[in-house]
Amino acid sequence: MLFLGLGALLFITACGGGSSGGDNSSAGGEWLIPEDEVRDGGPGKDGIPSLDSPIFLSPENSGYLADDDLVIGVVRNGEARAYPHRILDWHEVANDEFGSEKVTINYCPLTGSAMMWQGDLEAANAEFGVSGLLFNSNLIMYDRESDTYWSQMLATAVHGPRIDEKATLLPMVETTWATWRSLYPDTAVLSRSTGFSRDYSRYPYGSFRTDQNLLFPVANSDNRLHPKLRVFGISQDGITRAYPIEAFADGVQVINDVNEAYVVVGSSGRNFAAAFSATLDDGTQLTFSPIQDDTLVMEDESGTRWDLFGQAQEGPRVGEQLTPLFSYTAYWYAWAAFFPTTEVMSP
Amino acid sequence: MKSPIVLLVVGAMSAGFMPSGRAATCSCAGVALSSADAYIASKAGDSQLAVTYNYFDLSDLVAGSTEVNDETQRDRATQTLLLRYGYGLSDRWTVGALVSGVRHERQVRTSNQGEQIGEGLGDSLVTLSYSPQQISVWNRQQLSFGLGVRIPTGEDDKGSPLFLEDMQPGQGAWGGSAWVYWARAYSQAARLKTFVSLSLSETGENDREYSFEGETTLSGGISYASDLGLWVQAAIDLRDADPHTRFGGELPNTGGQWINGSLSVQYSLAPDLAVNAGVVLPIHRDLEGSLQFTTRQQFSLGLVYNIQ
Repeated sequence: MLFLGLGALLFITACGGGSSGGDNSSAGGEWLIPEDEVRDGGPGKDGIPSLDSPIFLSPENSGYLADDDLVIGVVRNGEARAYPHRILDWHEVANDEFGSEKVTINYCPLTGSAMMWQGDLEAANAEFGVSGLLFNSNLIMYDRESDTYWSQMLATAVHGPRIDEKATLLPMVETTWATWRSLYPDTAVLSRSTGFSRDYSRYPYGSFRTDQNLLFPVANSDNRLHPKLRVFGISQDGITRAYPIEAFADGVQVINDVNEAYVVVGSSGRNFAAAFSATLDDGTQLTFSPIQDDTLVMEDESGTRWDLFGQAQEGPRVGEQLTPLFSYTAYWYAWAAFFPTTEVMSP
Repeated sequence: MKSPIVLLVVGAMSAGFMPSGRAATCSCAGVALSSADAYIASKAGDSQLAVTYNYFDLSDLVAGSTEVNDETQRDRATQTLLLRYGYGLSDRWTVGALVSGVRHERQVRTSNQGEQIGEGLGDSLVTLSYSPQQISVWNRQQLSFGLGVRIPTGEDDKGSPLFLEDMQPGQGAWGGSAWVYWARAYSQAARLKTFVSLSLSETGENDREYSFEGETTLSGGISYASDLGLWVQAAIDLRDADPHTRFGGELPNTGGQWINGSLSVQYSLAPDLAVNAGVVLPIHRDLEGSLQFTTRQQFSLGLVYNIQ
């Protein structure tokens, strides 16, 4: 009896003392987004562990990847690295360094969206972690310096000390392993030796990639396309458009929007898309045509040839850089949830 | 992972009214639905009051049927406190009611965030059971049937931002269960008994279109009651839980099959008062999806008071 009474007392006492335990974010204060639309994903803060000391392999040792596996491809200071979805499905955030440059590669498996953000140059700890919270079913990260919460698809701090600050996006490409390897044969690729006991041969979300189901609610549902169709979205200067990846030509296709002064380059066969301002710093507006080359994707009227990151690699403008638009690939349902006025484009 | 409160509630629902002073063994993720000996019929006019405390340690990380190391050092536990009352309408019909308090705890020890707690009033139950056969001097078999309705009295709005359903004290949805229990005694004194039971449960959607869905549990075991007021039971439970759903679609990494072993003891302090304790441990599990946290162990303590 005494034991039971003690157990009951402990329970009741604990019940009475846990009000602060209901706080599902460790940063207090207001939210930039509707708080009632922020969802607990279940694992808790850091329950999905970020990769903080990623190890890389040479492409010859990438036998765990299939040609059509999607990867996030990055080139910094001439060094190419690939971060496979197969690994990021389980970790969502990889804090990495290129020399002294700190970056975070973030990927939300529920929205299919990937980005690379510049690490905080001012912070002693520039790392990001997975908060365990979601907005529109999309990853909310937190930075380990200020404990500010950041919406991935908005690339904006939505809660905490740095609320309303924008993340600095760095150029990256989402494509297949085969395409990335053909573009950058010397690329390094993330190792499965992550320090975590995960089966990277398995996709952790069942049939989610292809079925019609959502795991968490979103603010805006749009049934114009299949919810999991991968679209390349652009949202900049009042333009909000989505280009289904599968609607691009099999080879490289270039779309020049002369009125809005931007260019989209994409390929369904090689599974990539990118978008840039077509106007150079000196005010020159370029138009482009596709080139079917393994490494370069478009050519302007001067004969300059550009790569997938918008860098001029050959020709009179070699060394120049096109300005990337705010754009990335995501599942249609997620893009439409964040950008409800999106115009669906048919390349 | 099955919400502890769901199974707890349905398990307790299955327990019905037990004038013998037996405690309900509640359930949780990976644990059996109810005590297999929980369907003992009442006598007309008898009533029973029982309090049970349960602790569920949900810290095992399992991929399919393989336990894997959790480098995030996540602790997950649920405590429940159940208050149950039963009344014998006749020698064959029994009604019961249960209210619950629930506390969910979660902490990732590699994180800078402290323990998160979702606690409060849990769901409630009403049950009705019918026992056409009862063990007596002249009859060595018992057969009982039961039905239960879970009432969503529990709090399901905990957390800021809102916790996921498995951290809410209440499920926010109506549910129901049905069970059948058969036991056989091997002497007139009925000290040694074997039993088997089958229970089914289903759960509706809450207002966020989330459902814990249903599960089936088959239990079997053996019990022995001594002259000294000590009662011991060992049981094996086979549990099959459906994946949870949201918006009608199955949620990955929920549901699965479990085989659990349980050991319960009870001691009669007085003719109308008994204390009990139990432990449930997993023997085998085969869980849906690629990774689930599930029950490592479960403990219970109870006090039962019979009113005649």
